[in-house]
Amino acid sequence: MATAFSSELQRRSRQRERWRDLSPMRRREAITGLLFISPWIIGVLVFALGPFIASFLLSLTKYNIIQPPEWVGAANYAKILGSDDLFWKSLKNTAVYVGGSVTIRIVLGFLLAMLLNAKVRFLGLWRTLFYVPSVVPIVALSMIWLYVLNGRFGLMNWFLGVFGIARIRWLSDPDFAMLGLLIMSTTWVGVTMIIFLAGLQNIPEEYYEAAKIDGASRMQQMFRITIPLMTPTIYLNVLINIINAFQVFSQVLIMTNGGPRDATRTFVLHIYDNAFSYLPPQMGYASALAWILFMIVFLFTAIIVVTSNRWVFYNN
Amino acid sequence: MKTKSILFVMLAALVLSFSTAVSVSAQNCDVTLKFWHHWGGNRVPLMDAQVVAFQEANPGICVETVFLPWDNRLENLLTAISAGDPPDVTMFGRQDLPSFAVLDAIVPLDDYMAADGITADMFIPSEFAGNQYGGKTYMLPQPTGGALNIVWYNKQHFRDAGFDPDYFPETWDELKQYGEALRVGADGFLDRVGIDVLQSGGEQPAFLMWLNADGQDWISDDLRTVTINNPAGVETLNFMKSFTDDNNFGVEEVRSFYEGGAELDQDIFFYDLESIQVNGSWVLFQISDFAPDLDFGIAPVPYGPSGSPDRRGSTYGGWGYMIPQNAAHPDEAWKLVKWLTAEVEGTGACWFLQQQQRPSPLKDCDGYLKDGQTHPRAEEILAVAAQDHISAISPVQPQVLQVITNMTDAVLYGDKTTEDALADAEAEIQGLLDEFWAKYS
Repeated sequence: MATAFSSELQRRSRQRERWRDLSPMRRREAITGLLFISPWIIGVLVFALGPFIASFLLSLTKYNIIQPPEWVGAANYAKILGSDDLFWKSLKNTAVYVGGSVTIRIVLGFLLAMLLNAKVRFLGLWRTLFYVPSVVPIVALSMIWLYVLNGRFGLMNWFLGVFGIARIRWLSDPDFAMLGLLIMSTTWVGVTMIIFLAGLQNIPEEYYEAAKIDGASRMQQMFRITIPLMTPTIYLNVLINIINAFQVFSQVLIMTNGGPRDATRTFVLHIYDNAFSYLPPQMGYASALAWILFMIVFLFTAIIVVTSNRWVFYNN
Repeated sequence: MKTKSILFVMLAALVLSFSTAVSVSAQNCDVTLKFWHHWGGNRVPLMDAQVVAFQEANPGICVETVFLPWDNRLENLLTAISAGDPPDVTMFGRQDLPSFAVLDAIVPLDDYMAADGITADMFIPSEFAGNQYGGKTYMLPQPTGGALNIVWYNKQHFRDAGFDPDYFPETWDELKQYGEALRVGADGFLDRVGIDVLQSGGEQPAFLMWLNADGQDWISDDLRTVTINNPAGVETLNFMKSFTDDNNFGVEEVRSFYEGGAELDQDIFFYDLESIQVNGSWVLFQISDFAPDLDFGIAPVPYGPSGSPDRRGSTYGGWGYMIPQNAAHPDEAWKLVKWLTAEVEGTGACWFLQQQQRPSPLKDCDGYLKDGQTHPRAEEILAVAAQDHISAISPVQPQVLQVITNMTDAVLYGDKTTEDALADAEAEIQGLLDEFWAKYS
């Protein structure tokens, strides 16, 4: 351990010497480079790292935004874990949403990418059609889905009616409200699909030719070539979708506001309510909730990253 | 050529996007006030005209007007205050006043009022009361917080169902019979609602509106003790539950029926999908604009078994204008507040409400007098509003509303008995009040 630390010090020392050894021109270039990326560095420091640290400090206070924060130590965390029923409810709802929406988007996105990787007519049109909903603003999308899932005249119930299925009260029945949000989450499958499509097109055609010569069936090609070589892309998509799904908020606020019976109250909505809906505002408590969410997302990300070497296979 | 065209279009867009700013800066602005309001829809041109008139009457003061959605008002205001950049004047909900006053986040107006001769007796007492806290006046009212619980009913539907269109039910029992007869639907699905008792006008939850109509205050006068777990509370919740189950096929169906209704360009009442609606005085303006041929009646809210005929609707919350602490120009801001709330002449407070044909909190202003003529239905609305009773606002009102919503839903969805739900809600609200007063009393 001490040896490793010592060698690291020596390496850094060499780097400093290298900087001293640089010619004036090289130094100017380095400074120019730093200046070019400085907006990004400043942006990260001011708009990401600063609030990141500030929110942690606020999580240890009672803070109503208007008056100075009052130090309470870990009391907010104790209250969240000990007596906040909505915390556990929102955590459970969010877990259901993450599990459901990530599964839907990965499976559906992969299947769509497979379809749109084939040689079909109007390929560009189909790819565009599936991707376009992803770029529609979330508020507009939520309004559209309010109509689609409307219990009285919604498109979804009309479609189910074709198969003789009775009307479902998608957003007012606690048993169906979360399902409604999960169905809505298919809107963003286009993003997942595009990434999968890029991954599929990166698989060398020779592998399939060799497999065909060896007599491999389509299913064998799928499970022996496509899926193993797609694991880096699956890995990326799972990570992106999990992180996004944990932060589900806008559509919930607009479409259900957490109801009915808190069936769609998600974690970020709970944070929002504490920060901006309650009076006096509970920004310290909301910050503590936000840090718990960060730790949960970090934990999931870490598990996926650490286990990735067991199930992610790279082409090389 | 193409590049030049693109540049021209971009330049034109830039010029147009700054046109508002130019119209402000073209004047001689010694001070520019930031002004936030929530008057959307067909009220936007009215507010614009009112602000222009203010600028003409106050040379040197310019106003940057920003329309913001009502639902995000607290988020926007709190963020601006915490950033040290609040508006100079903002429209404000009276239900939010106690919390902000306790936190010393609003400029008291008493000194300004005294200097300019604006007195409390210029306003209807029940409307002015909600603008004060701890003996100080923090905002001035505009429009009313009363006349929120007016019954609007479709007379043609009454005729079709065999009812006298000039009579509206007085009691809850009668209302239940009417609601059932007016409902259209089968097999557990609604095609038309008689009345949805889960909705009310303004920000007040339906439970508080019906509780008031059953003769019961929800909180003590000193705002320290909640009083919902009592026989009137039980009657109210049972009425809402049985009405919804028996007449409207249950809470899930009636809520499903109204989903998307708010997104229609007009109210569901104007689509012939609802026979009776409890809503505010602004519906008159909407009827004039959207359904001028509607044959409608106006009536007070029916009262409950423990209620009385002279206590029907409630004055709850309402709106006004205030100056946040740390506003950049409080003296000039006061002039704008005065113009928006107390100016009887010209294109001021009185004119603004007269264009909308709704009651004014100013005694000297007949809100229904437009173009020299009083609206023919004005007397009916004012007679209903005269039966309003003040429903108090606690300093933790948003949380209280959430508890009451959960309580009502727990009963409606069959998760709790009425008695258990009331007991749990009362304990929870009392806890919130106790915690608040322990810190801020």
